[in-house]
Amino acid sequence: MNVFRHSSLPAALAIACVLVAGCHGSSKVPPPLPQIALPAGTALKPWKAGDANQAFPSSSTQYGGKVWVTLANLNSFAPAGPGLLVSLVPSVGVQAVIDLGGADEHQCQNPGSVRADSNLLYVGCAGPFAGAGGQGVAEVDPSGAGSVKRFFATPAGVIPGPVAIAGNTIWVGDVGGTNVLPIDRGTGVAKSAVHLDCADNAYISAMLANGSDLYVLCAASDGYLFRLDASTGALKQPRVLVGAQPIAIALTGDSRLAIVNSTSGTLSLVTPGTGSLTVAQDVLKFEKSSDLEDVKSLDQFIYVMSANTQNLIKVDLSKSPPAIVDAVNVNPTSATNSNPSRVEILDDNDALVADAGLGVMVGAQFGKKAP
Amino acid sequence: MQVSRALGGRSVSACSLLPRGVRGRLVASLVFACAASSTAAFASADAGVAEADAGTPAAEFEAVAVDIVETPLLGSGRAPAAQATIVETSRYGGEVRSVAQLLATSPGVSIHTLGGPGQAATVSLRGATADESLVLLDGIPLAGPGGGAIDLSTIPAGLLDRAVVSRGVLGAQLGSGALGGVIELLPRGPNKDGPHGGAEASAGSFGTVQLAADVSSPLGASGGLVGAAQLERTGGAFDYQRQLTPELAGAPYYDEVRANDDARRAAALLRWSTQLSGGIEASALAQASAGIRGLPGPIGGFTPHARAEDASWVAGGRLQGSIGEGVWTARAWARGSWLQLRGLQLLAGDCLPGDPGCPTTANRSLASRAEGELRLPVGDRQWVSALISAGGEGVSGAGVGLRRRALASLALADDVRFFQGRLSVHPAVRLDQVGDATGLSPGIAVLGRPFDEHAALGPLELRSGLGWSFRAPSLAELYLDQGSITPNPGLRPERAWSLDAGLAWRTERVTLSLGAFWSSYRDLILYEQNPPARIKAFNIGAARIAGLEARAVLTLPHGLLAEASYSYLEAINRRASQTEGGQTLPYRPPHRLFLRGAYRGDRFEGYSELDAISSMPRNQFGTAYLPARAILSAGAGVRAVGPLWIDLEARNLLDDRTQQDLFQYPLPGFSLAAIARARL
Repeated sequence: MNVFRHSSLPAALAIACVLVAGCHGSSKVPPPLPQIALPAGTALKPWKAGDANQAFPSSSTQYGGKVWVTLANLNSFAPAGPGLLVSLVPSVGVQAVIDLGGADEHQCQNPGSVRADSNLLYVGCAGPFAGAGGQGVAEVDPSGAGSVKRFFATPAGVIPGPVAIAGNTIWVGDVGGTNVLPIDRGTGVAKSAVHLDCADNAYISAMLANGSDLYVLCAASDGYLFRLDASTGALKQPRVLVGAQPIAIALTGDSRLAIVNSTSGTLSLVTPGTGSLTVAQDVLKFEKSSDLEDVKSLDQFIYVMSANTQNLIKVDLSKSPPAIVDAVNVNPTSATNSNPSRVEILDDNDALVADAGLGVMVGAQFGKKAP
Repeated sequence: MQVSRALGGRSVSACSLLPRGVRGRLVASLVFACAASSTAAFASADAGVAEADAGTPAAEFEAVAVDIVETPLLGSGRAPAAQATIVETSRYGGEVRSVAQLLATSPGVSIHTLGGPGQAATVSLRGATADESLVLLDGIPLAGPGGGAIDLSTIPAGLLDRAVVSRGVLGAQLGSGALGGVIELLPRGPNKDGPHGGAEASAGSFGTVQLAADVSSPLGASGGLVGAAQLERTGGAFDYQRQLTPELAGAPYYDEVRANDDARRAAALLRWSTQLSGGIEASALAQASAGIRGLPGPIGGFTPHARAEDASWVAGGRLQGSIGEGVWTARAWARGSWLQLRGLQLLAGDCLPGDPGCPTTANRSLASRAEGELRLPVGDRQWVSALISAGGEGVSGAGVGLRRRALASLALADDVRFFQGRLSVHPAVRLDQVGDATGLSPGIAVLGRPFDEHAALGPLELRSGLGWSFRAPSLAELYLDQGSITPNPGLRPERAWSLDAGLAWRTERVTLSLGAFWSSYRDLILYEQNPPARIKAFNIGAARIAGLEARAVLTLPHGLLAEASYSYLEAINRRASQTEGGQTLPYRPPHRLFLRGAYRGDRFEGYSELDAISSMPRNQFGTAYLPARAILSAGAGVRAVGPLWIDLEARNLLDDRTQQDLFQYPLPGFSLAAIARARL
């Protein structure tokens, strides 16, 4: 019974899961630990001995009953060690640490996205931003202690960020521009990048593969959603405006797309149709929040992470308009430099949040009274 | 500003203006932009130190129409027909007020603070940013260590005699940067008619203590000297309330105490003037300020180890004499400032000083300028003045290295009267060279008193102005390469023009004024994301800002005084953006109201006032707002013995501890202060 689900699960799977007791929260998973320490110090394998690297958990997904978290492994916000992938059980703690750096420890640097597909995990490695090296996609075999199966170096001109898997294609979004790069999963060969006409100073912030569609978020003050053919990359229809700095996308239980806009602090809902995308822009304004970082979906709820208030916010989409029904603070002790960013929903009331600033995973439980 | 940042495919928080992930940098850059300045100037040798009295005519609260005079004019005097308000510090004797709080009594002013006493405060005029409003001390433009806006908290109010708030695009009169207007701070001046002096001490909530003293004395046969000093400190540990889950309606508030919010400051002023042989008047001024304070950070982004130290100075001198029927003036000044930050990582936020990756950073700025001005009569109704000025400015330190640029200006102004002086016209044009940026600023103002002064409508006054000017990018905007900031040496100047008109009614006991303005800004410098993972300044902003400003001052019998200021602002973003275009600019309250009633007698005094602002957007998308707020304050005092007054003041009487200012910085609730002062 898979109690861990990700918003990118196809709707059909989500519906099927609802039919199984336990998938919708009636049988609760063990609650997550209040806090899970991530590797630190020498466990981060700093390139320079003595460096105090930061783990900087930057992305997560769920697979095989575990939460998988990429560690960017930075020092002063520059890569300072190999990219790492951690597996953990929320109620237990860290299970394994997979070194993505290869033989020279520089193969994958600054990993920022992880996705599961076909019993494999795919990690996008952004590299040092300023300079070459360490950029590509790592294909990870999660079985056993986990290992890097293959590494697909990406060509210059694309800084790998978000990753989406569609059939035999690994799609890589560019966080330095507005390109999406297809990589043949069989051969590992990168094809020609698809350039998206977005906006000045824009970048690809998130992608979601769903059936034959590849949805791409282009982040800018005027942020757009693109719908591409997941096989060819062909643009299926004109872009649609979704908000300011759209940052994350999730497939909802009723097959809509939930998009959170980071700087405007809003939720937009997109209803895909045949040849159309109907946008309900800024359908919910998080007037007391900002810095929205992530959105995940489970049943009729979506869960939005605000780094500004450090709250995980639960929104009921069955209400019209969508309504905030709960929120939980993930930094009640006001620890300095907290920067909660990514969230994994374990069941209706439990979640695990990656705090990039503190370098920890935080268990969040709705319905508990604040201290 | 609007940014976002991507690190390896995930975006790291972007608060309403800057990414949360770089909050430390936000704090730093605000401090860097605002901090340590100094004040000083010379000139205006006739500015006396005067204790307030109940009989001060109401007309002195507004800039009175300036008749054409032969003396070369400085600072706000160069814009005689601008909409202006005079704020006399002596009016607020018996009250603990910062410069920011003094300025907030004027219409057209918005103050933005980063917390309570001693913390950074900047001023905005007519909806312009702090960078787009000049702050002068007797004509010297002040700036922070990055060349940007001055932090008003670094200028103790105890050194000042008054402030003149002149509103409108005044680049033709005052040069680059005067887009929202000009605030001139006039320091205490020497007294030539005998020794005078005063002292004030106050102690109040949060461990706040201030000591100020000034002394003025004649010097020689025709000279005068004044010295003033102020010491202040605050513990800063005020109570406030926060919600852990503000997204939920009715979420409970929790009591908190502000930490790392202490501040200490010392400042001194020395000013001298004398008459030299040949009718030449000489004056000089030196001023210095130094402080240290904690940088507490916003709610949820606390920085308990972040500290800032600053120091600044200004020195200047002036000579003035006559040539034929004209008057010449030569001036020179220099200013410097220094800012050091500790315990602050520019990307991550708080850090422990001494730890690896937790450096101490420092920035400095230096500027100097010399100028000569000649003012000549043309006939008996016209004066023409010409000004030439040259100098330079530079910054050095973390992220900018050493950057310098030259400054030069040429200006012409004409003041001409018609119809027996009932109409005066003030055209002016100024050419400024600021490094690589060249800007021409034309302007004209018209001032009319259409009726004979003895007629029923004699007190009516009409004025109108039109100005067009620019703001050169600051050296920090051009070259700062720090943390996630990418420099942009290709930045162009911001440009703006404005039109305003107003009328006033002035009698000895009543001043009523009403004005309207319309302004347009383009090429505004905004920070935008610069993928991957950085932000960069671009000339991408545009705005239309219009508004109304009203003020009433009534001098009532029995020592009572009532005043009111109201500002309406419509600040519309005209950026070519579907999400921002047409939205109200953030942090510009559409409505602002200041009401004050005061009594000043021979034995007793007291006041009460209300400072209220309406709800305003806190982002540029119109999706989040700060709530309206009102601060009610009152004070009362008694002349205990001789010239000694004892006052008690209470601020924020409603004890609202939930108020916040920029970037979720909490503001203090109820506070008390006891003040003792005497003036001889």
